[in-house]
Amino acid sequence: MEKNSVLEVENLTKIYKTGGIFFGKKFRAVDNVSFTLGGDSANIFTIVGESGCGKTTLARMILSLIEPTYGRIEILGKDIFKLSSKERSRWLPRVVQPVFQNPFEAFNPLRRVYPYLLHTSSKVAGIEDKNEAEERVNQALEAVRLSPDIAARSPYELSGGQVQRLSIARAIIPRPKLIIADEPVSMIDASLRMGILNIFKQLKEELDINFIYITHDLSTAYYISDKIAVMYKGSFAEVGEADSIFKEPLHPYTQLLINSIPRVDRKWVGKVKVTVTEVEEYLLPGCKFADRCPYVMDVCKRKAPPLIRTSSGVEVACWLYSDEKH
Amino acid sequence: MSANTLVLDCRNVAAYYELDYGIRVRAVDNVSLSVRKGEIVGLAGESGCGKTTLMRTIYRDIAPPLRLVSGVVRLQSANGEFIDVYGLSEAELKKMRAKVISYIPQGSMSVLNPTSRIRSQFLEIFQKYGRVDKNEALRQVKERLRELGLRESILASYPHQLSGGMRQRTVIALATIMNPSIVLADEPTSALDVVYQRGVVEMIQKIREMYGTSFILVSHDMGLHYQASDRIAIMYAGKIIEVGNTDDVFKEPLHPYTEGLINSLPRIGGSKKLEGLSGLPPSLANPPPGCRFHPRCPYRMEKCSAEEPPFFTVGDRQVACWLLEGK
Amino acid sequence: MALIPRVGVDTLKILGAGFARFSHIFLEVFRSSRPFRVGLIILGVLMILGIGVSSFSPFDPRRWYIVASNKPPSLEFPLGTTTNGQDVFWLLTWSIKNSLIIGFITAMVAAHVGLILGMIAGARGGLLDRILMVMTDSFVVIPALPTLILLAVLLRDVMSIPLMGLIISIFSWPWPSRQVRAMVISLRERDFIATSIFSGYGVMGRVLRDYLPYLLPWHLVNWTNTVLFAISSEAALAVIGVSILSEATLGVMIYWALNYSALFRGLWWWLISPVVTIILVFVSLFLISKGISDYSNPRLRWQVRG
Repeated sequence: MEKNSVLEVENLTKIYKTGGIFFGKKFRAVDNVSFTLGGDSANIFTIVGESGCGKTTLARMILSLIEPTYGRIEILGKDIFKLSSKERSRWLPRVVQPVFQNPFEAFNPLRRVYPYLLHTSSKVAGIEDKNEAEERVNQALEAVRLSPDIAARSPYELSGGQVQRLSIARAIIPRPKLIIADEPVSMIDASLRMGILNIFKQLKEELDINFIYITHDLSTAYYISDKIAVMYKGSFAEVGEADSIFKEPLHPYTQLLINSIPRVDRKWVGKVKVTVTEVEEYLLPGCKFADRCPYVMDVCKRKAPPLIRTSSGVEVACWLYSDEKH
Repeated sequence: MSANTLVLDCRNVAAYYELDYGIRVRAVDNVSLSVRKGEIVGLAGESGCGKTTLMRTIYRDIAPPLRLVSGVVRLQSANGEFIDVYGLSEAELKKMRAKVISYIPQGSMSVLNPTSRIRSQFLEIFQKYGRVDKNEALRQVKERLRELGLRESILASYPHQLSGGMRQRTVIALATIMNPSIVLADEPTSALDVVYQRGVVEMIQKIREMYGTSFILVSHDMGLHYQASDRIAIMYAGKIIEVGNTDDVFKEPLHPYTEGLINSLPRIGGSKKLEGLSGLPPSLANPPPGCRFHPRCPYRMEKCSAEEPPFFTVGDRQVACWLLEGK
Repeated sequence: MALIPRVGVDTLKILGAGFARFSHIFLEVFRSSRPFRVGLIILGVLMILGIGVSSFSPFDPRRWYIVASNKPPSLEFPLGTTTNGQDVFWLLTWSIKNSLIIGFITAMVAAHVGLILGMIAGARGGLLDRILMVMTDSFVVIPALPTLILLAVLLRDVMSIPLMGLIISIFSWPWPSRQVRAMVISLRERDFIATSIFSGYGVMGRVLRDYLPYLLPWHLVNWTNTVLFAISSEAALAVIGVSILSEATLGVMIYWALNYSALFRGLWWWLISPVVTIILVFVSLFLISKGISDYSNPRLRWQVRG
């Protein structure tokens, strides 16, 4: 284990059972995912994937909101599923915090927002003095460029962008090491999105907070990420530096994805092939992309490819890049 | 018919939600928009700017509290005549639907009936609008699917058995089976991933090429408009503020809102720091006087808060902004 | 276990907020729902009769042969008299009081036990949840009426009105408890619960601040329904003769009227009075609970307001 890793995920798997007891099928929402986050300075690690690829399940596991079927998650060297219940409620929120997709779901609509902020400041950040606790809340609001009177209102009196900023403000109050942001801008108007992503960049630099940014939108992923993982049907297809993945995508799925981005500076060329079914493909023994892959080989249908490290430092789960001969 | 024939012509359309306590939400205010034959017109704007209300107004799918306050919506019927949509009887309106104009509301799942197979949903449309026997109808459906590159096997499936992208393409095939001259597609790709999005756009373009169908494509995604539409109309707070050829608008946006919107889009390969627009869209129940964008506008002048800008024509572009006065 | 809230300023504040939400719902329902207003008026009249008027009775109406027997309604005896020489009007006011007491005791005990156990089971999950649910399920499968009869017979010597309410409570909490648990479990998946966890709220904090406000309208409906259930259970026991036959309740009145073949002998006022009163109690409680549930179901609320 690296000494200063913030998050270490190893062989993480979540299996859901669908159907009855006898004819039920197993559905691997997250399949054997491993990665490490951390280093000398904070990073923004983006997990890109289509809806239903397991990225939200992965996020909820890192937040210890659901338990994995097997695998291990360590935050700052502690296995989060072996924490005592006291540590889980006291220590965990101090080091990791969530930001959710729908800002109006993130706060109880029957409550005001400010009590959440103050409670986070006094109970999670552990600031006992009330004035100091309020001071910390105000600092957080300033960091997301909101005036304190906005926090005193009910969520439904505010716009989506404002509530999402409040949600981010709450998350940074305990100065966590890691923020898990699940589609934080997908429900925000286009003209306000960049404002929120810029806040992430700024928090990373100024407060040294690591981010896991989960999205389906590759353009915003390119804009803020240091490292990107492309997720397909529960597994990582490709992991690496953002620049190298966009410049030279290796996995056929990543290539398809990057060629399909509705860019505003270049039109699509050629045609794209789209599949019919979804769930069944999870049951294939081999590579889950095999039936859509233009370069499919025999081995792809039999055996799932491991993550292979290439010379450029990118890791790719594809037999095309394996030296093994079959 | 020449290529420039209009199939849809909206003039000064205003549709308000009239609520209790005298509140009027001016969701669509004085909007003019026309669509030519075989053209894909993109309608862009942020959530709550009135895009969907405009579509429903054009389709005459409105019920109180939403009301057409003023303006005309005219469609070209099969024999080339222009018909006022709001002058039709219910029976005539029903005849127009599916054959002349078709509407795909947001969320493909809500359009398809989850309890019946795709086959019967196609046949239902024939029963309702066409008068052919079942085998003939089925033959036409199969031929259409083949032309559009969809597998025949989807006919035997239920909607939930199809992936999101396939479902959306099925909905479009359903909406165009009677060869309407114009299709209103409201956010047809919003719940889909980029690969499926591209599939849907390619199918729309194919339908346009093969059958000369016009589309109004509603989306908040500017990238999609750049890829898919011939012309683009930008809507802000209930008004269309700029209309022009898509490539021109993206190359040189003239309205400050369009400019802000396009400049805030991340570009792959670029490393410029992007700024969003400051401020928030106004409430449509109480919009600011003059130009509705003026509180957020970086080039605001005195005139902007006093008087509403008319459309200024620049080349084949129309822009509602005082900056272009006299140019 | 940190299940019992520490009584302090914080707890008082939450209770205050709870009361504020309660009054808010009450006023909102009162304003928007005609059935609720009608139900409240009927129940109000019944409560005035049972709690106010009954205390002015010139004698204990339970005693036999205190007035002339078998008199039809007249100015002297507004609702007539029974074969046993009881004044039906005064007997009815006492019966309303006792039946409502049984109903309210059951509702206070059973509805709250159900709510609290359901919330704790749902919010905490794990072992505690499983233990509580095994307990709940075993109460669900015990047949209610035979057991009630058995208990009523066994406890005959010490039976009193409040005890009756408590015995009926035993069978009125398990279903609500299951329902509350199911609602809490569906709320638990919502993002705002995760936000509460990461804002440092413990189980108790979440129960009071997140779950309770959502469950309150449902709880009020359940509360009224439990009153209904208790009054009808007591009446059912009384009619088969296992309630406290020396007391005055609506059920006991019906029992004696039937026992003396009141209707057959033309003494209709003896039987009609308690039956009509029970129907009025049911109608008023039903209207009240309908008003609240219409309010708590937003889809219906839109229809109500047009």
